Amino acid sequence: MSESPDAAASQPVVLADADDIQEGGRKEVVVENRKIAIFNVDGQCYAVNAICPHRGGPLIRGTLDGYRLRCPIHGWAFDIRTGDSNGRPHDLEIFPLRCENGRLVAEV
Amino acid sequence: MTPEEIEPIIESEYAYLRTEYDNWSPTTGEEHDLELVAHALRVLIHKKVVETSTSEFIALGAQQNEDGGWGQTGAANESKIWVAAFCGLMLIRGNQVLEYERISGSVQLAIRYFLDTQQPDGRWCDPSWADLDATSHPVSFFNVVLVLGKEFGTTMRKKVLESWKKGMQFILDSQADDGGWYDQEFHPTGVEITAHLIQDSLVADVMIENVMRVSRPCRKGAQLLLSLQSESGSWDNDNVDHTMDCTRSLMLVSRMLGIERECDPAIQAGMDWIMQHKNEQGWPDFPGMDTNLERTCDGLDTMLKYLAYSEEDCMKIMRYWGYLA
Repeated sequence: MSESPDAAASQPVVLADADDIQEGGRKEVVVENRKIAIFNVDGQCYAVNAICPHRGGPLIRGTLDGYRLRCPIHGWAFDIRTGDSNGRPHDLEIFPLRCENGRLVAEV
Repeated sequence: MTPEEIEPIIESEYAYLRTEYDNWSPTTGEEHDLELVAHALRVLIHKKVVETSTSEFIALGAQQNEDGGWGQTGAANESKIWVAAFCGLMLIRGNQVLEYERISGSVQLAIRYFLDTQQPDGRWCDPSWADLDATSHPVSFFNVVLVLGKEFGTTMRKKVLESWKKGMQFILDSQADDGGWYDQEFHPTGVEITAHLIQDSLVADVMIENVMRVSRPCRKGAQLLLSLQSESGSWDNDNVDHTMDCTRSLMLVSRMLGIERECDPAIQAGMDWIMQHKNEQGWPDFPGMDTNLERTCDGLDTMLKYLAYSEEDCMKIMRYWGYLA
């Protein structure tokens, strides 16, 4: 499932081509040994740390209900736009994305 | 899978766990995640190597906080219900072999911690878990205290029994009509939490007192799990953790309720699926992913329990939950 993106040595980092992730789709990329999950909701892409801050569950396998991403292991859920965990002890790290020349770029 | 096929895999996986010793043993530092430590100590108990693992159990006891609980790591001062119960459970079970006064003292301190932190309605709370999860673990710990902890004296055991009943009642009152347990925030599918809670609830009738009449609801919970298994043998969309939870739970529940014929095909299918999706070393969270050490401990635990389940003595499996001395 993981792929190595065309990651630059310095920030910002290209995570994926925008066309790679269609509406409703998702993709996991690895940047400098960090797993990042990208989700396309309603045509907009969002990048988050792919490792759940609770017990390390793989969020790329999580269930999405709107913008709410639920970890498949123990059920922590996060807003992928803000990382908000709805009162859990840790929020999810997010990476704001911008599209440059058809590529998704984030500060990682 | 037959026991003969599984035994060499247990040995190779256990050897792998030993190679990862520095990443889980509490003797190698206070920064380890204590939930992983407890998972690993459970393997040591079920592998019957407690006698040669004294230092690991003593080190876990030494990482206990003053309030009697344990934090997320050995160095963390803030105790957490879920991890504290798991640690206390491993210590009381390990001490069945070791019989160390110091560890017995740790267990008593842990008992007080849980008596002090129970809510008036019987639940325990931990912001990292659903209340049913957080209640499940201390109830499970108290199950074992009531069965194994004869040395703790009448007064303390009476308090534990009262607390246990309140916790158990909270669990039983939360069961849905279909036999499952659910939490809309944490467990909307109910699979993992039902697997945990049927094995806790079952003890109420079978092992301690025949007052709560849980056999029927537990059977219903087991039947719900059977109905949720996929054709491939997994649960929850090929979730390795939840498939191990369900498979292990059904082993215990089917034996205790005498419904092996009903459950055995699901257990065998679950075991086959688990073994098919093992990595070269260890298990991942989902097929094809990297090995996760905690999941590997769960895999070893599942195989060891399966060996007990495969024996004719139907009581043997109960020892793997600590429900029998």
